[in-house]
Amino acid sequence: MKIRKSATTSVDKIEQQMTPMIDIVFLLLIFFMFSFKIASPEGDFNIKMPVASQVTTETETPAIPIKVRLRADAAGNLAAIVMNDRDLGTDFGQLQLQIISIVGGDAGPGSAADTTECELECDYHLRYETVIEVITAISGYVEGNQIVKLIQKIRFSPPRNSR
Amino acid sequence: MASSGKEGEPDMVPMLDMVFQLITFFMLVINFKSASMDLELKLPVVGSARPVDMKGSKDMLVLNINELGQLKVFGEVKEDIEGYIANEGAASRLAVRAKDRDFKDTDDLPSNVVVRADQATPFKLLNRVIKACQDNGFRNFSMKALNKKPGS
Repeated sequence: MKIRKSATTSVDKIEQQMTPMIDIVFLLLIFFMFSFKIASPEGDFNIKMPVASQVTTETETPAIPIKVRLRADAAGNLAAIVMNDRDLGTDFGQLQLQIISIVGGDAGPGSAADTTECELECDYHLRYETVIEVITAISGYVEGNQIVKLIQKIRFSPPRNSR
Repeated sequence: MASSGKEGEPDMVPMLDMVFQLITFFMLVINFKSASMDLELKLPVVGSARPVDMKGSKDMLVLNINELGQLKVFGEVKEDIEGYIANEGAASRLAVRAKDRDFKDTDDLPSNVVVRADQATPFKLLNRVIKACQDNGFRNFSMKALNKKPGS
């Protein structure tokens, strides 16, 4: 039996409508381009802040052994670091050494680094930049690629005005 | 003049290839978390000796504080700082209670408060925000800072 070729099927080429797809694709591209923001990678300090009025029992950690007072000058820059009534000038390295001498290389749950609390007493107008520098010195340091954690419990006492 | 009768159609394939590549690139690099960050803030830059601990798994409350002590959330300045933090604390408490029925109102919230403050923010203004968070049960804080590049 002879099969006839249909005149309409073989010759016509079915063309896909590309325009709607291109429209959507460009809309997507514009959306992603506008929502794209270049941001520098940020690091963070994870600290636990117990409240000042929290009652501690005798079996718990003893009262705050480390008290760091941060004095500011008129411009809000650091004027002095006083740790447990000892003036350390404005040297963050010295502060860190003092912290290491108290906490030592003890690490892990229940260690001195884990249980020791530090209270920061800052002047009203002290810049946040300085507060972070102090938290840096208190909370740890990097040794090679290893992070050595020092004090993780940091508490702020109400700001003071030393002027 | 004889004409071929064919329409001159531009070849769309290379352009589409390029556009799809661009879309793929932007889809991979986009980070919707950055919408909650105020990129106008000048974060403090600290030395390389600081510990960097990146944990993004917890529930987070991102607070942007500019040098005037204003709290900005998703680009909007919140006038009532204490009220906003109290609402967030209540919402967080409800979310925790849905998972843990034994959770009490006096228990500490597991949420992490991400503090992104300008380097020039005076401490008293920062302390106001931190105190409001503490009053509402937040105990875990992440203070954001930029890393100083070695040698800079």
